[in-house]
Amino acid sequence: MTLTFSSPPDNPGTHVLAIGVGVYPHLVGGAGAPASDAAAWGMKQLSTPPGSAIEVARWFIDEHRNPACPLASVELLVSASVDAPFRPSRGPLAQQDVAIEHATQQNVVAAIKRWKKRLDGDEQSTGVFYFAGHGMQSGLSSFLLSETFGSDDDATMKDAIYFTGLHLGMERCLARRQIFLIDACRNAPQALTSRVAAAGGGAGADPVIEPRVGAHPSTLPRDAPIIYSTASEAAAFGPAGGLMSYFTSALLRALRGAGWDDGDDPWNTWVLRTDSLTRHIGNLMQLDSELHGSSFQAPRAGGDAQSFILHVPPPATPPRIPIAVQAARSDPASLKVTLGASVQQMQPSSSPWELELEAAPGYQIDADFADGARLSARLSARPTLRKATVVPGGAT
Amino acid sequence: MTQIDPAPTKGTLHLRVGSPFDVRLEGIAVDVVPLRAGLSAKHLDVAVGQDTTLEVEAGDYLIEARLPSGAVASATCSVTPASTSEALLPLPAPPHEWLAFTRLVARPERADRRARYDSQPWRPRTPADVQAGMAIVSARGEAWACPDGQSFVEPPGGRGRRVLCDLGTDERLSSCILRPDAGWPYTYDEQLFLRITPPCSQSSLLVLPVPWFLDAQLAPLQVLWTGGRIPAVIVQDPGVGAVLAYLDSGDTAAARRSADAIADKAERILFDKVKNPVAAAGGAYVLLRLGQLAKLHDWVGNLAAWYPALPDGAILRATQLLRTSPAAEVKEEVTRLLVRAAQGGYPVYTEGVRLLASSLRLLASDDAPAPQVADALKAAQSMEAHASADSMFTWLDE
Repeated sequence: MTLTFSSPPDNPGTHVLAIGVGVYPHLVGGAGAPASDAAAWGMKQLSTPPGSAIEVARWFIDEHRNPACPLASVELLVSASVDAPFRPSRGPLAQQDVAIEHATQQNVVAAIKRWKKRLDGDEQSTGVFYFAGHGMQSGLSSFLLSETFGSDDDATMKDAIYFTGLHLGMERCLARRQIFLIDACRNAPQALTSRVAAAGGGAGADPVIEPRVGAHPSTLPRDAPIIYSTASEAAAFGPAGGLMSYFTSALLRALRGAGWDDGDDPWNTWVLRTDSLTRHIGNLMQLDSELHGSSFQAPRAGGDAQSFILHVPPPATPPRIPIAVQAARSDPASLKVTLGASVQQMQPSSSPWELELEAAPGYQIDADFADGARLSARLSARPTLRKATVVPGGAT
Repeated sequence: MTQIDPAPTKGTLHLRVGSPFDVRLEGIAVDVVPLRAGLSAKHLDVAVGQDTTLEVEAGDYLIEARLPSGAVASATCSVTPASTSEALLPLPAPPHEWLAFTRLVARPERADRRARYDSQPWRPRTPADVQAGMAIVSARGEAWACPDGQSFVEPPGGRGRRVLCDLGTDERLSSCILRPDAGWPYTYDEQLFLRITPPCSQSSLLVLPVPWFLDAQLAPLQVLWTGGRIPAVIVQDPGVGAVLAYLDSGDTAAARRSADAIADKAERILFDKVKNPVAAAGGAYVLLRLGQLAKLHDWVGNLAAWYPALPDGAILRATQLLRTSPAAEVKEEVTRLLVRAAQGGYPVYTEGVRLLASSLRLLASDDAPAPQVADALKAAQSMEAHASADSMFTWLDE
């Protein structure tokens, strides 16, 4: 068990389970005996899931805040090519090196059961399930592959989590608020999906928390959104050799401000709500794709979901908003950003310009070119992101 | 004594979400955000092309309309006391008028970009490529070729059904508009499918959400694909389109901003089940998704009873019972409904396939499931295994 953070369990709390699987010994490039169909499946070792899961766990420990549902536990499982300890910044294990368990099927199943048990402590608790690694979709069924996937040629899906069944089975959990963040491909090779489709349902994969008829532990409706990092039958990407996937990078930026919401008290009271998270992450990923040429993927929402508050930043903490500023000309210009008496001057560079501004109305943006021309724009910086085009005269 | 009236602090804001074409769409989420702290934001549910008037405190406002497609139209506006200010939020012009509705509810560019990474991309190059693989198939297995882009397709057997396939392409997308003829004597006892067989790839069946009545007329459906494997299917219904599209896109925040309005709208759609049972089922799925179980009333029971050929009615009623009643009391009724649904064709909505399989899985987990549950579960799992998760309407690989 790798509980990197815990607090007394007698109150509603936020319980996080983060899993990152980058090493698959039985898939292509793995150190173990390859599965007999590994080459046909073509699934390889992954570089980004370990770092992605660690950073998600770190965000919750370092930055998560919700007075109504404070952080109560963070459990982390990571399968990486090099094992490294995790050092939490606070909690009973603060500043200690904590050895992290691998995300083998056995460990993942046990961790999910412990996570559910912690969530069974209070109806008002919130569960956060994060998985990064190989995944697959067969029809409407989703699967998450643990480190040991491919270890048994006679029972291929034995080392996979039947995620569709898990999500359904978590109806039996007392905590009514649960969010599932799935950073995994959904386009497994035909050689694998056809086998799963032929078997039907969970195809031998473990739902861990199996659904049962009539097992409603609460009269409150469950609010349990799923955010998939990519569309059905599409791949999820990360930078080659990088430490974090595009989805998790966008997720963390959304958690840190780009996905906050001030709908009830404009410019003043910010919260992060689950129902706008998919849109914000999608917008950030689209911006990354447009500005940096990263592979485009469209996150998708699922599950029966209304809306709950996941994060409440400290008062008077306006978020920082990514801004893309474009000009009709591509030669370098120096950019001046003015808000009231505050002026930021940036070094000359070419359009499009990528800025990050504190959420506020009434920014004036001026681009001054070497030939003396000035193009301008006015904009209000609000989540998720803004795009502005600078033009002569400075129209918004 | 002279009474001095206080100076007015409020003004009137006229706002309009405008399209260059005559297109109707209700349920657009609009935020009116003051540009200084201390004033309240307002969240509205407006219709494209219609004026909306509201009273606000004087000040500067940012007004944003969030479309189901994900696009945002915005404007800033100054409101002065005791006067009226206008704010026009212009929508971007689509390349063709026939895309005016589509661009409000779908974002084909996203699918198009995604398609570059599909393992087996299919990009029809000319309308002829598309037509070659199209057919209309009945639940009884009869198929009618769709020989060209402007032909009526007359099914054999003289049952009087016909569908006009209107194909069009531009540089980004291909589209097929299905316009059921107004004289179409639909009897609710048979489902219609659209089969698409891309070159060098397996064929797929789309369960057509027909008949979709709009103001007592049959509404056109648009099947839009941009090279990805799963096309968007758009019902050109201004009252229901936005509700379904917000939920399809995952922007439930937009739905929540006007949750009451959307839930009321969905409730009304469900109430009007006699006018349009297919739309009523969609409204009921929206209510389930929003957790508004009370607004289902016993109308889904009526939907199940009156339209037995629409499996969604039975699935919705069974789901309602499972979520609101003790399992022991309703197990028999739920089993009957779900077995009937599993044997009665394909649900029109993918959500129906998901709920059918998951509910039957629940029944199968019971200590003593009814004997027919196993066969029904097998059929549902087969549908589940071949359905596409990202399509609102059931789209099955063959």
